[in-house]
Amino acid sequence: MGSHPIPTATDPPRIRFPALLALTATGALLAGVAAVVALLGHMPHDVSLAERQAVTIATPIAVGLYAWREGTHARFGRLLVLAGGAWFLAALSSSSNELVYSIGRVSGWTVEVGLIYLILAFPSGRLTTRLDRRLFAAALAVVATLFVPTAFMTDAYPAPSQFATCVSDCPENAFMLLSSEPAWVDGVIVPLRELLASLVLLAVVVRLADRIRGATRLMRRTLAPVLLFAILRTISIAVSLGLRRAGVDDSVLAVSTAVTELCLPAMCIGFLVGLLRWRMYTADCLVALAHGLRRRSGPGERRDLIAATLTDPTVELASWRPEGGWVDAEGKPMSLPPASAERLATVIFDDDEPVAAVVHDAALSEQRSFIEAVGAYAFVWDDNRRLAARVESSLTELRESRARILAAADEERRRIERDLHDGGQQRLVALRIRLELAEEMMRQDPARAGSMLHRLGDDVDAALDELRSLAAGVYPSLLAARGLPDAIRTAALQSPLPTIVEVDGADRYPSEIETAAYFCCVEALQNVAKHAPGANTVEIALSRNGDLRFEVRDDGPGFSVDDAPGAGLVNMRDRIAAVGGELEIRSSPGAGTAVVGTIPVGR
Amino acid sequence: MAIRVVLAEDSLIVREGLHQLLAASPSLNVVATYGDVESLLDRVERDRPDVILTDIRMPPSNTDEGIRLADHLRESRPSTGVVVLSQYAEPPYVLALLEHGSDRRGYLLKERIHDRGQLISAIDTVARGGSVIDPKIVEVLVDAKSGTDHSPLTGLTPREREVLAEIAQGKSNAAIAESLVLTKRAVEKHVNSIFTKLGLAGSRQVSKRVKATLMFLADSSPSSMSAHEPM
Repeated sequence: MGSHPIPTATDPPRIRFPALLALTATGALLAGVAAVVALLGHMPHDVSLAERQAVTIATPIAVGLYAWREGTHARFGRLLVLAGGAWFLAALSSSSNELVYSIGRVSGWTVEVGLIYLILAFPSGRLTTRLDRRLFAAALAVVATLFVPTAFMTDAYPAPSQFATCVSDCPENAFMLLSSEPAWVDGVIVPLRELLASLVLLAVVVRLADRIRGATRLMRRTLAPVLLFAILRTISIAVSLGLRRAGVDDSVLAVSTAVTELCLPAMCIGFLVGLLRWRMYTADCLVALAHGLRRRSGPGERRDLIAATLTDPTVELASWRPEGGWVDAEGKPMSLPPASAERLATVIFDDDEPVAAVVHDAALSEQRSFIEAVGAYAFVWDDNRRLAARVESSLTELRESRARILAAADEERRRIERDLHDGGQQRLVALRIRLELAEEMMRQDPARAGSMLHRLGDDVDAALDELRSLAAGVYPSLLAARGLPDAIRTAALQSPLPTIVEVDGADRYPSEIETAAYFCCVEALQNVAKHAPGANTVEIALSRNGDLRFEVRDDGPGFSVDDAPGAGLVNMRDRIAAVGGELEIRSSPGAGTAVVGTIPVGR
Repeated sequence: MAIRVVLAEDSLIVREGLHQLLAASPSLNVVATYGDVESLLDRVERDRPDVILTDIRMPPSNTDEGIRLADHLRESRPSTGVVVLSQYAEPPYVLALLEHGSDRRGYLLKERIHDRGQLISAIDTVARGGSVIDPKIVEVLVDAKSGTDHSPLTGLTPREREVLAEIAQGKSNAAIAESLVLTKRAVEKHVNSIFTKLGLAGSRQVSKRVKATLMFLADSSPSSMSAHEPM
């Protein structure tokens, strides 16, 4: 698995540290500038206004950068940072300069639209349902038709507002195009738009509440703080608008607009709390999952665990084969279902390669990143377990192989002892006896004794012969003196079958490698003589191409490699494995046999 | 004049035995015996041997010191012959000994030692520039070579096969004639026929043909009918 368990193939990347630093500095700068603008504007309560502006700009940028850095909801974070920038423009409303003020007031209208988008798109940063998109479209429509055009038709913007505390002595509208304001602007448009705006806000809140009602436990926890602050803000806005219309005291208005403005950073805190709760809940789930995984063993139980963690009993798991294609928990091929209203498949990536997939209820679509985290965690665990099992079985195989090699060595020693006894000792004993007899014969019939002694010479020659071939069988000096090619050629000479030896580039190697290759070839050669009646020729090929390779081919009857290997073949495999190589036996009935060994020789 | 012989053999028993065996011959003069190659080389200038009789297997590596000694002397003392005594009947050792030329070189199996006559004859042949290869090795090679139906030796008559074996042992035409009871002319005819049939190009000179013949016999590559290098 990759270096981090939570994959990022589906999300935009998290912000890098230098950019983070730059944006933080920019945010602080913007907050500072807004405060200064407010102080220079000389509006009523300018100090508290300046403080409010600074907070209103700093908060969304700070929370947005946090989300962007944390990564899971980076997209939402980016939008929030952008919103902070837009709210800076709106904060220009506290300026006494006509143009700046006007820019600020118009920008202030986008605040609502932006905030509605943020609320609807929390926490993923995308509008996923048609209803959400329609609500947002409605808000856009209201602003586009009833707010923006009036920028060119009105003398003065409605006061006071969130970002401008002036009541009666506000700067004039710099974008006024008409000579005078038509009466229906203030009489019809403004009340209409205030009403519609409130309705849209209310609809958003209702939508959010509905979303919570049908959401999973995780999403309920995440969305609840946002809903709370959204409700507070909507009430605050409605009250402010109402009070403004009712024409109450300036001081009362000042308080209500201040509270409304502070609801903006409060909403950002709401987002932050929601994100933090998401993280905590996810972490708790993953911890519980870890405990569960440690206890369980089979793939069925793993699926159950994931289903419980995601609270979706219909969860199915799929693994990606390296050679391509999905398989289910039993290893049978399957295909991921296309995205539908009922089911979705969330794919878990590792460095852009698919690794696994979780097929789940479409209702969980809001928490894709959580599903990815859970899936990645479970599969990492699985991976580890598989690796551990493989190591275990390799160790077992190693132990068994070593035991076999030792047993084979003991067997060899016994054989040598036997051969020395039968061939060497017995012959010498017989010789001794005949010498004794010859000595006796010496006294009786020296001529006969002479020929007896002569025959004893032949006996000694035979014993020498036998001892010599015994020694060569134990270890051929030729191998150490001249290397594999010569040693194998000589072994080929002694085979009863015509044997051809081809050598291509093989020369000298460490003695354990030469020994292993030599004895394997010799054994293979002997096998042909013993078990392949009807074989006409044997070919031995030695080559070096990175690895040392030997191949002993015969044109005999062949055998089925699926049959259990005889002790000799197992022995050969062990020998080659002990020097880090591999032995392959290719044969099929009627097609001859090839024993192929490959030993890595480095450099 | 007696042939100056130096012995190299690390086993004391065998060394002494050899010394005794050879000392009795009037045609040989054993001037020195050594237990290892280094001490032999140290004194070789002083000893000025005509033939060195050496074991193949000597300290320090106990593999093929004898052959390496022969190679070394080919450069430094080309007029000195070397007879290697060995317990290995494996052809690659013989070919290694003859790699830089087969004249003044002999390879005998240790079991030949007891036969004083053969040993002295071998030393004599080598001293005069010839080669001696133990018949047992030739036998191994010829047997292996003639094992198959497609053996290149099938083209030879039985007599020619006998002559081939004698050639491989290093014998001159005269020696072959004596050994097989033939006339020298007959031997020459057989030799030419053999060389032509086997496709052995190159020198018919006695010392050179040993190597060519042995290499031919030892060749286990698929294209066994290819001509070997003339040397």
